[in-house]
Amino acid sequence: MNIPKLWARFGWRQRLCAALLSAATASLSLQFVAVTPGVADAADSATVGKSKSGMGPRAIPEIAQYLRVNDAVPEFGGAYIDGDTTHLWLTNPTEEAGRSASAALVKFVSKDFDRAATSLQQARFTYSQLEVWNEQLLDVRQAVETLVHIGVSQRHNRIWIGATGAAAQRDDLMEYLDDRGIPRDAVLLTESSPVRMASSLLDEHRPVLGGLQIDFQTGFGGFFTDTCTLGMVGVNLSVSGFITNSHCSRTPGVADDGRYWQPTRPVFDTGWIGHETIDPAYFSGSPCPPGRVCRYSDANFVTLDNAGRDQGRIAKANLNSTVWPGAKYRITKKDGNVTPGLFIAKVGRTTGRTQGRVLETCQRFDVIGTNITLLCQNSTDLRSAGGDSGSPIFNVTELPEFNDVTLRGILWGGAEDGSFSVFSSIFRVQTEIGTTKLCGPAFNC
Amino acid sequence: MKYGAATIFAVLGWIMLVVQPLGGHASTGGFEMASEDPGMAEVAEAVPAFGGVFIDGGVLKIWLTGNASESAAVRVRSALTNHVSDEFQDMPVQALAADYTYADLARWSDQLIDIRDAVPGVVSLGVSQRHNRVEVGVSDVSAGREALDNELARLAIPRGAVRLIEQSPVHQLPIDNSPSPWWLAVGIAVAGLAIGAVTMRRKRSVRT
Repeated sequence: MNIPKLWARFGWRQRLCAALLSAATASLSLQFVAVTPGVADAADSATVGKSKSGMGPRAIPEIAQYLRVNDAVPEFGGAYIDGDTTHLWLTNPTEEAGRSASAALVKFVSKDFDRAATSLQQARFTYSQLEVWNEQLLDVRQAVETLVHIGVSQRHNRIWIGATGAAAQRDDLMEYLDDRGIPRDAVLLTESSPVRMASSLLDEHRPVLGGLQIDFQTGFGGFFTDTCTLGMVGVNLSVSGFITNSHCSRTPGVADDGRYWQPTRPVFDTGWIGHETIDPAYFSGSPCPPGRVCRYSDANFVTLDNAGRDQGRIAKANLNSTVWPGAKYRITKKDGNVTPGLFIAKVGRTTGRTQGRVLETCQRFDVIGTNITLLCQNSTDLRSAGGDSGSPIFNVTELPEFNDVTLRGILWGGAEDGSFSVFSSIFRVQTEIGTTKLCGPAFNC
Repeated sequence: MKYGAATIFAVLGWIMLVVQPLGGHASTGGFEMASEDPGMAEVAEAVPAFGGVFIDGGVLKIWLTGNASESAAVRVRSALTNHVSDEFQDMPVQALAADYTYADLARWSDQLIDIRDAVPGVVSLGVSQRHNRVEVGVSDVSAGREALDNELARLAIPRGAVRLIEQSPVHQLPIDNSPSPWWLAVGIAVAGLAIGAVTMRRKRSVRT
């Protein structure tokens, strides 16, 4: 295709159209590249790789400081602290070498090494020898496929390799060490549990449970996407699903079949976890103020389609964090009656798990920028932010067991200055969307 | 120009569709429920002197009009346990002298249903159980005080029963990932130009 010739045949309108469409396509592509994790990750990993393998261990400050000690005291094989004693590994453990090593550690590493007592231990290897061999073991995964960790252990004066199923890989490791001329006894191979990255409320989790991030359809043709928090997982009239906010749906106040994803909506809309089936209409007339439309709760029900449910469970994220190590709260009771002063908590995708007290109960709130008024709502001083809509509100009872909670409501709003948050009580939620079993399997509530 | 009108309608239609979810919602007849807290209303019926309750440092602090005695507070606690929640039954109680009953406060709060028309910037309205008052939250107290006083006089609600506080407006908390107005403008422009280009082409083909 001859582009210049084609361009010449275009009138000014076609040229303008083509230019606009090209600009739009280019911008969209740039946006896509910017949010594709692989692009940024590749650059990061290249930088890390260079500093570690290309420039040697001295490029890593934590290692370089001990290599400086080894430069000052050639016998130095490592050091560690146990109580009031500094333990020193020395290939020639004399008093003089011990004093020199202690002084060098205080000077180059930390004053923590200035302890009341010093214990000298016979080392087989110097610290720098171990670090050089450690560098040569960069591709040790060839021999130890289930590698968990590797590094110089100053507690053992060895290179310490941890792996799952370590015993079965010992022979391969020894062969690998022999090929590289690394002494077999310089390496310690032990069994180790696998290490997982701490997950977060923003990651994908199945089965789904309360507190996780969800995306949902919104705007023209459901083409756009907004983000909220999954509230509580349960069963409404024998249908499995979850509760989130009514405003976290394609059209608030209308059961519109809008789809939901966890954690994010993919490019081709595959893998949705559910669709909205209950979202009562807003009403007008007393006790709703004139000119407004009202409800008693900002809640809907989403039927689960393609995901299992972890009923009655809420992700127990770390306090004031969205990091979720894996523990879960269990709902053992529902109680929509909240009293000012009650200590409560919530788990949301933006501010994570936060705690606070109920400020006022059964207040009428007008939502800014809309004609919506929510009747009989509760305010609290716990922290929240955009994206936390739908967060389950509960108080920890530890009854009958640790991590057991009483469900109190669902968070939907907050003051613009962040001074308070607002939630609907679970009593009001169930009055509007129907009684829903939201407690753990052993509890009939 | 007849195609220009079609373009304008198409663009307006687009804007309506995009903006529609932000606007009002279909109203229905609704359901009749009291605007007061139903559990507290039952307690107020059982103990007419009841003026509200809140928890402070693990102590159940109970507002009571008239003789605010410990024994009356214990009666309220058992009413709370019966009508609201069993979690109150073992809590220590403290009686506080109230100026108003909960029933009166809830009734005055209901009377203020039209307060938005009289007082600018209303954010919230309801019975404050921590203060034994009706509480009106407004975005600007100085602008709302006189208007509120006038409204209270009109409705014959005691001025001292209503507490006016400054409150930041409340908004919902989703993350809005919708495209920016800039993107919408580009979309509308592209759509308009595309329709224009097609109509010009048709006109030319009709002439030839």
